[in-house]
Amino acid sequence: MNSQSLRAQLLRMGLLLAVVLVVLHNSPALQQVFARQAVKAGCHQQESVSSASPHAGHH
Amino acid sequence: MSIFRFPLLVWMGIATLIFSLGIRQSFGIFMMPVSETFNTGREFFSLAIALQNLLFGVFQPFVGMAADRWGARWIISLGALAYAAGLYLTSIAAQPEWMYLTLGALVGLGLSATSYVIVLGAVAKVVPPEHTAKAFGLTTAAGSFGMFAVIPGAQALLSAFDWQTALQVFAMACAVMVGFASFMKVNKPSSSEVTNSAGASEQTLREALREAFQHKGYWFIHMGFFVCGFHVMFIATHLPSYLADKGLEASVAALALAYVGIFNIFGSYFWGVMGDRFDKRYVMTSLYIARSLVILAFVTLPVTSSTAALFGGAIGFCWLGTVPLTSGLVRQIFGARYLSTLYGLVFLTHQIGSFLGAWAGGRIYDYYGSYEPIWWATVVLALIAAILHLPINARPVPRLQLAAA
Repeated sequence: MNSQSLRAQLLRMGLLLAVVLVVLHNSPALQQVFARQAVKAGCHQQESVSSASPHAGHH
Repeated sequence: MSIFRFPLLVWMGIATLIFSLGIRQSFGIFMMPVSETFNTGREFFSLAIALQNLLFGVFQPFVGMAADRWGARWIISLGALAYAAGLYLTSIAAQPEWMYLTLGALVGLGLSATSYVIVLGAVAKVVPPEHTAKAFGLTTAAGSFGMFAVIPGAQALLSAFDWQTALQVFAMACAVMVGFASFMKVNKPSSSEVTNSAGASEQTLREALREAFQHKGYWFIHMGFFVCGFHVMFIATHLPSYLADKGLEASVAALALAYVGIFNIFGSYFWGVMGDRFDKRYVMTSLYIARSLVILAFVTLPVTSSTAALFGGAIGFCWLGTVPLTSGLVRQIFGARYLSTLYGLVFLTHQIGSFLGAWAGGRIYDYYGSYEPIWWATVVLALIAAILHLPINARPVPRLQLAAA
């Protein structure tokens, strides 16, 4: 389980990815969060305001 | 080496990135309440954010130099305080123009001191060279994760409180980064890193810059990362609209974009692992070829409900893997001592590429009235970037080779 061989690492990555995808498919809210921010992710200076969604509420 | 054996500094760096980049990604949801408060329209806030992004890039090389000179711990601490000050002062701003200084300059400075360039520079100094790309990949993946992790909290804050209180909570969260930085002490570089064959004193910043500027490979790295910035800006700007134009249902498009985000996180780590296992130049070439093939398929094959998520995942997987590979190449060739400086300059080039990509993308679309030329341009650019990395001399510079002998 702690093997650092490439195959073992890739297998662990794959398993974790599969679990995450199952969770994603069962959570529309999570899909929305990722969808809105996915292409803004990274060190790139994305204009985050362009993805602004109407806020839920304010005082 | 298992990631769980990475030094504490790596995990503190990851925590710093999650906070720093996560808060930054949340700014978009503040635009409307802030604009309504000042009754100004969106221009002030948008311009403040644009200024923030610009200064983030401009400050980066200099902040990187400072980190290499005085240590990442101090720079991250000061940067976190600047970030916190910028957010707090924004919350008490009496005039919208204040935001140019607070949200623009101060937060921009804070971001440059708490983002990838500084954290990766610190990580490089504590992780063995043969595991550096993997550590960089993990750090990059964690930073990407942070961008999603903070937003639900930001939305909850805005729902429960006013935007001023939400920003003040974020300011306090920034101060926590000072705590993380306190655990990011880096020991003095080993003699193999700082002395030359004659046993002369430590390489100066000026010498490091001269060494890098005289290395052809360093300029190929710059060019490749410029293409990455230019390239990815095309995709980031047009992908959501492109999916919408294909007539996909909103839920299908959302799932495709969500796949981009998820696979981006895993892809960053994957390409980092590959960079340690195989020659980083060829891994980078493979990454860019994969990008070009994915986009080519995206443009030429029909995008349906069945294939949209597949395309999203494939594009996401080839998204940020360039970060651990590019920074890993710089570390491999020039060592860890001035990584924040040298990679900071490469990052600036990347941001110039992003800026031009955003501008050129709009011009091309306006001229042709279609996304097709943009997508074909990204395919060609990906192939150019793939070729650019092949001739790089990726061996450590003679200074490091002699020191290791």
